[in-house]
Parts: sequence; structure tokens; C-alpha cells
Amino acid sequence: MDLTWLILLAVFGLQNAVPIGIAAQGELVTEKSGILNIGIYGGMAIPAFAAAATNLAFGPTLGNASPYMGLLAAMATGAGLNFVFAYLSTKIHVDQVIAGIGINIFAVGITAVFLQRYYALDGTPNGHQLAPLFSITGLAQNLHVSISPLMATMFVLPVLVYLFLGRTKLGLHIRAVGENPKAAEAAGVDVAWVRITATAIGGILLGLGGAFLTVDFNPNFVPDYAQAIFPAFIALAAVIAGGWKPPYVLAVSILFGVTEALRPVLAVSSTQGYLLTTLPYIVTVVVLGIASKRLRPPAALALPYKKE
Amino acid sequence: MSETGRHWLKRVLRSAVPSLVALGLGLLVASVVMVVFGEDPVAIFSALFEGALTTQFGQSSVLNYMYAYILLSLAFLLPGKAGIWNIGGQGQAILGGVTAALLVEFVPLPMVLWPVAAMVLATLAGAAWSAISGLLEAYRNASAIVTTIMMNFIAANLATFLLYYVLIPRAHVPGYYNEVDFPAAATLPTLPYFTTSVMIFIAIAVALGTAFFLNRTTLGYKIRATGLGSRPAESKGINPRTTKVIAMLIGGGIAGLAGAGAVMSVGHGCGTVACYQDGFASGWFGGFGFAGIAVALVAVNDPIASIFSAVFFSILAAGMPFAYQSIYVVWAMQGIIILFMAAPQLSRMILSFRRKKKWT
Amino acid sequence: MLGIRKTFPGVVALDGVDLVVGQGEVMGVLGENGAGKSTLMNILYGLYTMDEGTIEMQGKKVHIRNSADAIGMGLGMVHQAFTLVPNLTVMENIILGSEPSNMGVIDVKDARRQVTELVKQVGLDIGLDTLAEDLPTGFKQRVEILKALHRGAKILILDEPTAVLTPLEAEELFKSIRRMTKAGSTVIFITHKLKEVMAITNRITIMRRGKVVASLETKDANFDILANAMVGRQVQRKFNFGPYKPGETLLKVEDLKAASKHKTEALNGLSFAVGAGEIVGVAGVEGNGQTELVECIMGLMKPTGGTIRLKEKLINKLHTSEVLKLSVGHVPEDRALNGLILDFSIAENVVLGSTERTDFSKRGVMVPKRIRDFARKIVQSFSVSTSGIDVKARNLSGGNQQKIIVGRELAGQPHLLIAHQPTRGLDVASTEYIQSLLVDSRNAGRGVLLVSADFDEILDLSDRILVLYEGKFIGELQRGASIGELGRLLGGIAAS
Repeated sequence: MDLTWLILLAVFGLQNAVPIGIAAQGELVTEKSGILNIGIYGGMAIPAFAAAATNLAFGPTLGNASPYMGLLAAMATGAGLNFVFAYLSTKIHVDQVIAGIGINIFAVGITAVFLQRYYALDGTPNGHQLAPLFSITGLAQNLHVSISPLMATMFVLPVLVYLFLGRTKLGLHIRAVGENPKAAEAAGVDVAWVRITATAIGGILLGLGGAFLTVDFNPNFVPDYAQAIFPAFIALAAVIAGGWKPPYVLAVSILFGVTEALRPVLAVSSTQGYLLTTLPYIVTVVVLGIASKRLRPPAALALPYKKE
Repeated sequence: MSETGRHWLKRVLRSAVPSLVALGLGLLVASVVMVVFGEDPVAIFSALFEGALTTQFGQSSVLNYMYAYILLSLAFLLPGKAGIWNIGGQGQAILGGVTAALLVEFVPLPMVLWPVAAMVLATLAGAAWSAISGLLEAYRNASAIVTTIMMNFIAANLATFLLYYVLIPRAHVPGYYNEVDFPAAATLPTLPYFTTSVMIFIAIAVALGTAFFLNRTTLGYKIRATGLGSRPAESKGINPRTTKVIAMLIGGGIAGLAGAGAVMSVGHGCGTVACYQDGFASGWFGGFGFAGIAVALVAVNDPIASIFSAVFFSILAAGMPFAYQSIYVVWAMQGIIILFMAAPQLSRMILSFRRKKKWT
Repeated sequence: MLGIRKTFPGVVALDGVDLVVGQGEVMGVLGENGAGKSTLMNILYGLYTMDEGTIEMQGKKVHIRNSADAIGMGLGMVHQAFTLVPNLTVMENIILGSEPSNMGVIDVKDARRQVTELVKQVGLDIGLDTLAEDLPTGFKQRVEILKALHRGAKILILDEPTAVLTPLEAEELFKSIRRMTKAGSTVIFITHKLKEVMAITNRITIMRRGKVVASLETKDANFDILANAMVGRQVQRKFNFGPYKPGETLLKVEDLKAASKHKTEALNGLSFAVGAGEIVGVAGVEGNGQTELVECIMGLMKPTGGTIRLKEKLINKLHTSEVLKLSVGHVPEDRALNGLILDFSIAENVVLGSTERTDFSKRGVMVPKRIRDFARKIVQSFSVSTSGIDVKARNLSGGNQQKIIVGRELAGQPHLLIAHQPTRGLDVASTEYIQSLLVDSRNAGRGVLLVSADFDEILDLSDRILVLYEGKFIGELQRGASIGELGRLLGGIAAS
């Protein structure tokens, strides 16, 4: 009985962690270049809608392959949206924070408008669900655990991000412009374009994280006015609490996912559910308060850079 | 005198240009979206304005949005004057609201004192909540941008917890499953004819007060000095850290007041009864806090201009249900308006483009 | 052979400067602040464009439009302020922007081989995997030099390279400069330090006020020749000095020590006093501790040792606002950055720091009429040319900005006035006006601490001159001291 409880917690926790973990790695890449993307919510929600809509559109012709079209659409939308955001904030000098807020508000509005127009205000119908890589049965009574390809992606991503930032030319440039854009510029690096590229790459992952919720976890898009479905700001928090290091960010994402799972798993007796939900945010504020000297955010994070 | 008057008018008009351009672009984009959907923007906007401005319900609704928008724009712009980002108006308002509800439900007080005490306590709660972010930024170098966002979520969940596990089970006046109603003695005075409270006057007074505070008091002066040049200010003995924290406290207090005002007024969720209702600040990005930021941006961070800016956004929000069944188009528009407002270069580019066309 | 020639008929920075550097030599460019050394080098490196003149390399005329061009032609520059990325390793910093790579993936092996080879070549030994932020200052400079060499620099420009080094580190640097030149590199060494220029260079070009005043072989030079050439005098300005009768001691500093932002020792046991009715000049080339000295007195920085007394009152630990209340006026260095809030109007700027004065505010509410009258008074009595007091400080000329600051500080009738680079970048008329205000203050019995890198100003105004060199006073001169004496001290040669 106790074991079932733990297994449930692990399964639900990991499932909750997938969108957080994938999006957080994306936000990490973006932040490493010095761009603080507050528009992370829009960066997940709009691609998530695109994924659901594409999945539905290709469903009749492609069948079980259509969720993959959804994922592609999400990644493309995420990259495109983040490209616009980064272009505005580096080339047109729109304030990053304000542009981010604008994108978030826009996201809630525009997805609702599309829903209302083409589907129904309370959500799209179900499409095909992304096929699991494999399933595990027999862990506990009647428990059937599907391992999604996106969950595997979540575990692989930190390694890829680590190698990308550490070993590639672009990765080196990203770290340089996020830390000391002036020095990077002096060394012949184009600060604005490196930032735009990093943000667009981040957008691909934000989109993928968002799409998990609309073609995999549940193959539909339901509107999210209460900011409960797309765990965008939890991902933002995970980047900070993970100290901008890919493996730690993954660990924190899983931790936050498990925290989220505590509520449904303990639901029967718990009255503290709403307080549990706040744990990731409390942890992040406390970490910022206590360890702000030891955390190493990219030094130029959220600071605009203007060429002289 | 008339010459200085004209000079002043010219300055006001010139500074209003970017705002008007952004608003115009926002309306334009929304119209284009409507046309793409095969709808008639003229019909929609006329239904919107008619609904908001000519019906009793619409007018009341405009006023109900307006006081919240005014106060939350002040909650954003006042700390902004000291160079600190308060994106936490939403959370501070929610905390103010739930604090007022707690006092009203558990501490009965005599007539006038009851609502006044609730408002004061809510203001203090909002200030205390914002102080956490202010102190972290000033003394621990933790960006308020991030912490205020986090504090928003903490406040919202804390408030929901308090509603379901403290307020509803033990309230004197039970309401629906997701609300607690307030006794008449703890409700703010209602205006004649409209379904709204005196909050609109309080909000306008606070806006005027903020303008006076910033421009005429020594503390307001120090806040502006810190925001525009913390180094010269520091070299003349103004401590930028304390000044930032103070500005944040005042901003949070105003947001807390907005929250208390909303739950203690009629016309807010529970019709002719004042109540504390789950999600009273209506969701996240369409919610008061973020709309307040849009209002402040369009007002170019001027407290008095934010009254006018709030009128515009309130009419949109209040009128949209008359035209479109939902207010989501307004949210999309708000997002776009914010983007345009944040891009000084963009509106300048558009203006110079127009000028070029005219002269060549 | 390799020749660089430039001619500028500029009104401002450089006026027909010729510089010829031969391959494999170390050319010293000597001069005080504002002599035009840095401007000249920035033009060479493509950071500024010149109005007139030509640059030739190996006999051919070349055009350098930006630093990429300069790098392409084999030029490398190491600035005074380092441009390293702190969270990257030494190797990553060296290869940044010129990474050996294969389809976007950095070829780590190749990079390591290249860098190791360079390190061997010039003898700048350094751990390649250390983070740049963990390096001591001297090593950061090595990284900068290696970075330039990795991009194939044949001509290396070092801008005041020893300003941030300990003597031992400087010695190491000299050793590798010799190795580099032996290997065929050319080094342009910019400095104001006489000893160094004598120690390391083959030839010396001395600049003053945008002109080359002398160019000679190092073996023909000595300290006196160099000092006199570096600090030549213009026409001496005449001020109405009253009799020199220093009164009570206002400021007394004893054994003051302070650390700079880079955690190196910035002030190393300073002791001095300023009395009423005298101008005490602190002379020195920038970066020798002046900023830290003023910030310590003003409470903007905490000293690490020693005492500062203002009329017997210990002020080491006081907050800036408390120091200002003790009748101190402060004209800060860099008026645009520290002195004025540029987006405030004149009227708002004149009460910066004094809004609490009872005539400017009542119970926290400001009295605009009084403030505006005060602003008008300052504009009038200090002849600020402006269309009104509502004009933003940003829209005033440098001279008028400075008049507002000096006016604001003198309006408080301070006993002690600290003026830090008060006339830097101002036109002749404004300079003279501001300087006459300092003299008037002294005649009126105020104590004036004048911290300046403009040596004409120091010589013209000061009753006593203290020369600051690497955080210490290396000499004191009286009014009427000769240029040569000052020049030697500035260059770090203490009086024998």
C-alpha cells in the first residue's frame, strides 16, 4: 500500500516534470545569452495551441503520426514567437520585461479568440495522442505507466544543452554575450544576433514543453485563464533554483514536478494542497534570498545592450 | 499666461502621441483580426462602446474596472519611478483582498470603523508583501522582476487556501460555494444609480495624491532622483536602497488597497452584495495586475494620465461582452498595445515613415 | 620595416601627430592625461575615425575602418580596463571570436595546442582551465595579450599596462615584452611612468596636448628631459590670490588605507591636512588613488584603515548625507555620471541633497517657489547660459552643467570644498571661470581640496601640492614649484 503511494508519486511527478524540465532547459539557453524571457508563458501556450490545432488538422490523414506534426508545429511556433520577442528586444530596443508581459497577455487573448472562433471556448476536441515509447505494467495494481518520448527527451536534454553551451562555437558565444557583451563585441561577436539565436533555440524547447500538454498528456487544448496548466513560471523558477546549470535545472524540475504531484496523490486527506502548489515559488524566492551571492546568474541577464 | 498654457498643451499633446499611436495600432490589429475572421469591426466596436457607455450595467462595469486599473497602474509606476520593477501588483492586490475579508469575517467592528479598518489593514498587507521583493532587490541583489512574479503565485494560492479552509468554513455569512459575502455594515458606500462603490473617487484621489507625492514632496523627489540617477543621488546623500524599498512599499500598499476596495464593493462578482470570491482579481494576465501595467505604460508612467488611460481600458473591458460574448479579444489587444508602447523606436519609426511619405 | 604616419589638423584631440614605429622595437608613448595618447591608439585600432591623415604599414597606405580591419592587419590592443568574460576559462577567453572549429563544434585539442604554443613562445605562463574571474589582475592582462596574439597580432598596443600590476608582475611583463620583440613582434607601450619608459623602450615619443613634443632614442633620454617635455606649461593664468594665511585645520587625514573595487590596495597610508583659506592640490595621473581618496572622505566608500577627521570629528563611518551636513561641498568627478541627474531640470538639480532644508520644504512638502528662486539665483550669479530653469540638465553644455554643480555646492556656504577634476573637458572660458570660483572660495576663508590630473590647473591654483603616485604621496611642493619637479614626481621619481 505504501509502495503504491510512492510509485504514484514518482509517476505523476515525472509526468508533471516533463513540460517544466523541457521548457526550463530552453529558458536556460535563452537566459545564458542575457535575455530574461518573462514571456515564457506565451512561449509555451501559443505553441501548445498550435500543436493541438495541427494535430487535429492532420489527424484524419496521418492518424497516429499526426501528433508529431503537432510537435513540429509547436517547435516552429515557439522559435518564431521567441524570434520576434528577441528581435524586438535587441534590435528595436523594446524592454525585455515589458515585451514579455505583452506576449503573455497576448497569448491568453489570442488562444481564446481562436478557440472561440474555430472550436469552443472551453477547449478543442481530442486528437490523437502521442504514442508512448514503451509501457510498464505490474508496478502496482491496475497501474499502467506509459513512457512518452518527451519524457526521454527531458532526460537527454540537459546533456545536449551542456554540450551545446560548452563545446560549440555558438554555445561559447552565448555564454560570452550573457556575461560580458562588451567583451564579446570586442572579440568580434555579434551580440544581438547571438541573443536572437539563443532565444529562438529556447523557443523551440518552450514550444516542445508546451506541446507535451496538448498532444501527449492530454491531446487537446483547454484555455488556461488561471495559469494553472502551463507551468511556465515554474520552469522559470527551476532555472533560477537550479543555478543556471543544466543538470541541476533538471533535478529541480523533477522536484517541482513531484511537489505538484503531492496534491493529487495526497488529495484524500490533505487540506494543504494550495499551499503545496506554492512550494516551487517559495523555494525559488528563498533560494534567491539566501544564496543570491552564490548563485551565478549570467551577469548581463535582463540588461539591454546597445552598441556604441 | 496664455503662452505658457499653450506651451503646456503642446507638451502634453506631444507626449501623448506615442500612447495614441500604440492605442491606434492595437485597435487596428484587433480590427484586422476581426476582418480575417469575417466579422465587421465597425459593428463590433460600436456595439462595444454603446454597451459600455449607454447601459446602466455597462457604465457600472466601466467604473468597477476603472478604479482597479487606476490603482494597479499606480502600484506599477510608483516603484518604477525609483527604478524597481513591481510586476507583483496582482499578488499584492489579492493579498489585500483576502486580508480585508479575514478582518471583515472575524473581527466585527462598529459601522464606519469596520470598512476603514479593513482597507487600512489590506493596504498594510499589500505593502508587507511587496516589501519582501523590495528588500531582496535592494539588499540581496535578487531581481524584483523575478521575485514579484513568484510572489504573485504564492499570494494567489495562499488566498485560495485561506478562502476554502478558513473563510468559508467559519464565515458568519455564507455565500455560494466559492465566496464569502460581506455584511452591509462592512461594505463600502454604494453610488446612486450605478452598481459600484465610492472606490472610483478613492482611486482618483490616490492618483492625484501620487502625482502630488512624486512632484511636490521631498520623499517623492528622492524616489525620482533614485530612478533617474542613483549615482548622483547617492553622492548627495540619498540612499538608493532605502528609497527603492520605500517606493516598493507604497506601490504594494496601493495594490493592497485596490484588492480591498474590490472585495468590499458591490458590483464585483456577486452583483449587489460585496463578497470575497475565488479568483476575484479575474485570472492572471487578463487580471487587474497585468492590465494595470498596460494602463501605466500607455500613460507613460504619469499618475494623472493613468486616469485617462484607465478610462480607455475600462471601456474596452466593460464593453467587450456586449460585442463579442467574451473579453478575450481585449486581452490580445492589451498584449499588442503593451508591445507597441514598449517600443519607443517603433512608434517613432511609424511616425517618421508617415512624415517621409508626406514630404517626398 | 613598418611605418605608421598620421596627420590630424583636428581642433581637439590630435593636432598633426606623426608616429613612426619600426618592426621589433618597443616604442614608448609618454604623456599625461589628455595628451592624446589614447585617442591616437584608438584611431590606429579602428575605434575612432580620423579627420585627416594617413596610416601606412610596410610602406603601403592602409584604411582602418573598424577594429576588425585592425585585427586583420595584425594589430592587437590591450586596454586599461580588461574585456574578459569572467565565467569563461582562460582558454575560452583567448579563443573567443577566433575559435578553431569543425561544423560549429570547437576543436578543443587544436585550440589547446595553439594556445600552449603561444604561451611557450612569449613565456606568459598561465593555467588554461582557470576561470577568468579567479585570476589575479596581472594574469588577466596576460590573457588579454595572449588573446591579441592568438588573433595573429604582430603589433601590440599596451595602454598603461602597469597601472594595475604589482612591481613583480610588471617585471614579468617586461620580460615577455622582450621575448615578443625578439620573436619579431612590435610593441607600442603607452604610459606616464618615466622609469618604465626608460626601462623597456627603444624609442620614446612624448605627447602633450595633442601634439608630439619630442621623439628620441631611449639611450639619449633622461628623467629631466622627459619630465620637462611631458609637463610643458601653457601661459600661466592670473588669478587674484589674497595673502596665504591658512587658518584652522578643517580636514585631517591620517594613515588612510583603502581597497579598490578590484580588491587591490588603492590607498596606502595617506596623511595630510587641509586648512581654512588654502587650496591643497592633489596631483596625479588618473588611477593612482584619487577616486578612492575622495570617496572615502565623502562616505561613499569605507576605508580599510586610518582616520579622517573633519574639524576634529571622526567621519570614517559616517553616511554621505551626514558628511554633507558637516559643511562640506563636493564637486564630483564626472559631472554627467555623478554630479547631476541629467533628466532633472535645473530647478530640480539645484536642490539635490538639500530638499530637507527648511526653506526648501515644510514637513516633507517642497516649496516650489523658493526652489525656483534659488535656481534662478544660481543661474544668474554663476552666469549659466540657459533659456530657463526648467531646461533639463542633459540639454546644457558641459560648462553650464559644471557651473550648476559648483553653484549648488557653494550655495551651501561650505567650510570645506572638495573639487575633483572640476574643469575636465570644459572650454577655456568656463575653465577659467570655475577656477576663479575656487580661488574666490579660498580667499573667502574656505578650505579647498583640489584633486586634478590637469597639471596646469594644479600649478596655477594650489597653495600646496601633494603628488599621489600608486596610492601614496611621493612628494609635496609649494606654490611656485617648477614643472620639472612636478613632472618627475608624477612619473614616479621621488625627489632625491
